[in-house]
Amino acid sequence: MGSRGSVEPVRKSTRATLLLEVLFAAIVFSFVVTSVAATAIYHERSLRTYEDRASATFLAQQEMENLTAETFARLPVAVSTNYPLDVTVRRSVDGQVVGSEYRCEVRLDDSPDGTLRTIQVTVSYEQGDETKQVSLESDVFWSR
Amino acid sequence: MRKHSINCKRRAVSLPLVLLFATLLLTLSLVDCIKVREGLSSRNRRELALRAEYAARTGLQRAVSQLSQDSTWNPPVFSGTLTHDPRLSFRVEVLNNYSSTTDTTSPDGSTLPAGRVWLSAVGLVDGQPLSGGLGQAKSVPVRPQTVFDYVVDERRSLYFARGTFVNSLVDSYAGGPPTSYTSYLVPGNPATYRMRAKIHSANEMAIGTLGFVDAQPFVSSDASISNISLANTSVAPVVDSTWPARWKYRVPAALASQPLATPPTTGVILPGRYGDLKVSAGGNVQLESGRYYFRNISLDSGASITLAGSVSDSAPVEIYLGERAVLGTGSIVNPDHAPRHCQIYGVDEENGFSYFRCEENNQVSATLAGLGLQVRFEVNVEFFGAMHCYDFYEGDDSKIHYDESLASQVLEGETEWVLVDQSSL
Repeated sequence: MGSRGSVEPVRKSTRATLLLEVLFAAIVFSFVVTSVAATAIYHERSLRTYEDRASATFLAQQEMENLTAETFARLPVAVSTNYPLDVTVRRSVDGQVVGSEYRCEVRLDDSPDGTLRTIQVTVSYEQGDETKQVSLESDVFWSR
Repeated sequence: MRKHSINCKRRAVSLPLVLLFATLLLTLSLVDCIKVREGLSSRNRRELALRAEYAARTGLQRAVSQLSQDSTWNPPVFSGTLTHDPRLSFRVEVLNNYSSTTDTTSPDGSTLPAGRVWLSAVGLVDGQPLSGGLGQAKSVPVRPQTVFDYVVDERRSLYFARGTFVNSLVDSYAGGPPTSYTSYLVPGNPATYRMRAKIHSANEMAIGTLGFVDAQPFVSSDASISNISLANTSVAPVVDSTWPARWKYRVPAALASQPLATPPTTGVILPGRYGDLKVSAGGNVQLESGRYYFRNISLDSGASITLAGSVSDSAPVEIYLGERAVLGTGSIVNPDHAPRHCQIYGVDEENGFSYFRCEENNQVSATLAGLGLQVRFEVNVEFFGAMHCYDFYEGDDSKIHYDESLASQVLEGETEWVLVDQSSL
């Protein structure tokens, strides 16, 4: 009995420690998994933000190049005819096609002597509850 | 004792395993974080680089605007801010070799020919250039001289004597007023060919069998050669894929600042800025040497525009045409002077174009030029001089006589500075 009585407290203590250890490990593990999952969600949002903005930038650049290729005299006609322009950009996400809506607007400002025009291309899009914008600006001289 | 040791081992293994696994997950997550951060940073940088590049291009355009006001403009550095985004600005280095007659070396080591200007621009974000040479642009703008080396030099397609357009003729003469021209050409007899004129189209060219071209055709591609009847051309075509020089004109500042007057419908018209010139049937107006601006010109049947006797090579008439000139049946422009005495420049005020149209039985002695100038000869139009235009339409019985004295001669019309290249560095 004496020897049995000396073994029992050790077993209880070990069990308790083991339980604490498992609990601690479980807490650590769940914390880590939660963190990683949160980070992954954050990354996915960031990447979506990145893709949305990259598409908007690409669209703004494309329209700016179209406009700077126009002759100076025909710029106002091209702007009033073609803008605002609504564009749907479709991307494939995990095999599913997802569309994002963009609106491209152009503003023209003439210099006082009429020989320079400032082209401002603004592409706006919805992201969550917010409206985001990408804007590019360039001047063209009238000999264009 | 044995059980105790097993429990101790269990205790020793589970926590390190979890910690190890957690560390592994965290490390992977951290790597992913860095990648995403780099991706976002790279995207931001690309967008900034793009905006800076447009700022640099704006710098080039504004520099050319300065040059158009003063061709000798030569600041060491030219800087400015974008209109709508004050975060973005530009700095342009300028080396002006316009007035020089010798080549020079630009700061980037390239040779800068005489008469050209070297521009190198950098776009700045918050006053700072982007690292890695991003957001830069450069150009060597050019101001082409007005030299009529071609009888017709146009940017669109050029068709002579094709289809139903019969009796078309292109030839040349030594120069002078129309009265100095004598018909010399016998199609099919090479001994009578002068072979002095040149014609050029930046697009398709066709020379059909219903007329004759005594001029060197310069075609844009091999494909055009097959559309040229060699039996109806004095010289075999040559491939030249270059575009005509960009001759863009605007009303000279001294003329543009004058109030717009109403021109008389008959008699002498002094140089100045006028609205619509309308000469009624059989009427005549005479122009003195100097610069004129007409928004529109309309000559009724049998009307004429003549030049004063004092008009000369060194004192020509320059007409800046805003929108349209329409020559009615039998009307005549400059019957008594050489073509270079009547220089007509289209300033393209009608949506980027100007128009010069001859309806029937017209005679014109002039040089015609304009980036957006569209010339149209309907029926039996005789033209002395040369044209550099956007589009030329040739109808029946068109006779075009190139004034050979125009070759290599720089005329008075001042073209605008043009950015021929603004590529990113």
